[in-house]
Amino acid sequence: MESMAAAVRPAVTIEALYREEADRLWRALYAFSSDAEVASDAVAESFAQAIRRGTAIRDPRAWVWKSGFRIASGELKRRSQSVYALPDRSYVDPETDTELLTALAKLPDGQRAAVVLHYYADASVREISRRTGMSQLAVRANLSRGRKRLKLLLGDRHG
Amino acid sequence: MDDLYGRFRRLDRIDAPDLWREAVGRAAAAETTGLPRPTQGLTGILVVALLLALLAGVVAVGMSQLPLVVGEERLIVVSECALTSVSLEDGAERIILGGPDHCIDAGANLQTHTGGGRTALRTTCGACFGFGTAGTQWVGVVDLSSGDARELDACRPGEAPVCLGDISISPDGTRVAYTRWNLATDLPELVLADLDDGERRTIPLPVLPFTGISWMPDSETVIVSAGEERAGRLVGQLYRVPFSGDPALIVEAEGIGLGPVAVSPDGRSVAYVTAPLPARAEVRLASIDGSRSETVWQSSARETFVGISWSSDSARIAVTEVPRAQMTAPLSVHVVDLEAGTDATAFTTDGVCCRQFTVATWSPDGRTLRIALDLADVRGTLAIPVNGGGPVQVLSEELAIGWAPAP
Repeated sequence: MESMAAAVRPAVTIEALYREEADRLWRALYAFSSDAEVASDAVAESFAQAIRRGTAIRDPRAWVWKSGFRIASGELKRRSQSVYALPDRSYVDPETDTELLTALAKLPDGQRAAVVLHYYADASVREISRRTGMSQLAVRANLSRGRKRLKLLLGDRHG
Repeated sequence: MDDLYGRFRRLDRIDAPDLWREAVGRAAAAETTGLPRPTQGLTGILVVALLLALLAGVVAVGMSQLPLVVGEERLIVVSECALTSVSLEDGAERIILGGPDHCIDAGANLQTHTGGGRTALRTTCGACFGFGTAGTQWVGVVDLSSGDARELDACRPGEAPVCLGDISISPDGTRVAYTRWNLATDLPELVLADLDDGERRTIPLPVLPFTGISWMPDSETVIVSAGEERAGRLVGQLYRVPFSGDPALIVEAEGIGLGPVAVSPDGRSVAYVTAPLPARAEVRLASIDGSRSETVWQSSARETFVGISWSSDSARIAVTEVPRAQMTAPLSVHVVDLEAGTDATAFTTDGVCCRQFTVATWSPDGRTLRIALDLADVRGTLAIPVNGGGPVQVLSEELAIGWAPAP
């Protein structure tokens, strides 16, 4: 049946994308939110939405990153977390840099997203723009300010 | 290399959970919800008219007649799982509403209307009439400053089926008007709600709510288009409905349905669209008391959707014309100058129209029109100079759905 085939095809494609991207997306969202539950919810929901939308999404890779960050941002806003909780230790390797995550949690949303995507996901300014919806101008500003603030918070050991 | 890279690399040591089954489960749960289709009480002509009216809404994104708000220009944008506010000056973006509960499918049927620092939203009605998207249909108001969202009405799977129609927020942002169709009682209704004191009125509509609600500038009265069957013929009607008072009929049009309506910013006139399918759509202009009415624009094609918006000086109307079968002809935007009595085409797509589009709306200074399109090769929001010059893409990818002053 054509309708069934059409319904299955996007899910297969999205599953391949999930296998390629989901771990990195989850870790980026975890660094962004300092909350494993928020990261998990954002990853699951963004891929669920991608499956539902199927071929209506032109660039699924950019879409899941963008929607993941927006879902996480919205959830953080909903929780009114002006100061984010410390990382959930159950997900953290003993060697994980909790100092870095704690410093990240003190950056504004835009700066935190730009810094995480640049330093962890190796994304260019253009790619960060696509993945967050910020203009390239805003990405540059957020990246510059976020980098400076992060260095200050980490004791300026990375100058 | 900056040592920050090295510190971020250590994130790879964290075990990420496998969430694929969870994602598939969520997608499946959303697909399997559904609502019954209406089966009783509608005559054939009215069923066709209602479906056409609803279809007009389904093919477009944000078919509202957006008001013009003078102030710093910010776009209200819907995109992946968020409603955001974007400055045209520096591109700075602020999320107004986001999260898993707000993955609004812009391609389904989203309507928004901004006024007084608030945006009124309606999400898809797909489930009610089998247009494909199941799930909760919702109307509510979002505060553009705080992001606080307030639900006003909803139809949820398993509850009494209600189809929610147009929603419009008053210019001062204190009141909302929307239409709903209770499928259990087969009754269409206009709901007026005061957002501050909670007062709420429900007014029965004659037969059909079409696709038009527009507030008067004083935020006291709403103009709504409806319809009635009389001796087997459809009669389109425009009503003036005070927030506290009885509705008054101001225009009646035999044999045709009425579509979108828009009250002029000076409050003296109301523009409305006639939809005499399969004939050509017209834009008509009536005085607010209905004492005079004239045709100011007529489509050159048959079976088109027509959306309208006023310039802030009440001197011009932008007419967005889209073929109902979207992929068969171009989209075009016309400017009707009421004082000069002219009609000029300001913009037309190079090829056939689009997967999604918004009705063109005016910038506060009246120099440009903004429209969001999803074409084969371009997706984004365009600024169209009214007095000549090519369109400029002001946002890529993003589909802007409204204008608002900076909160």
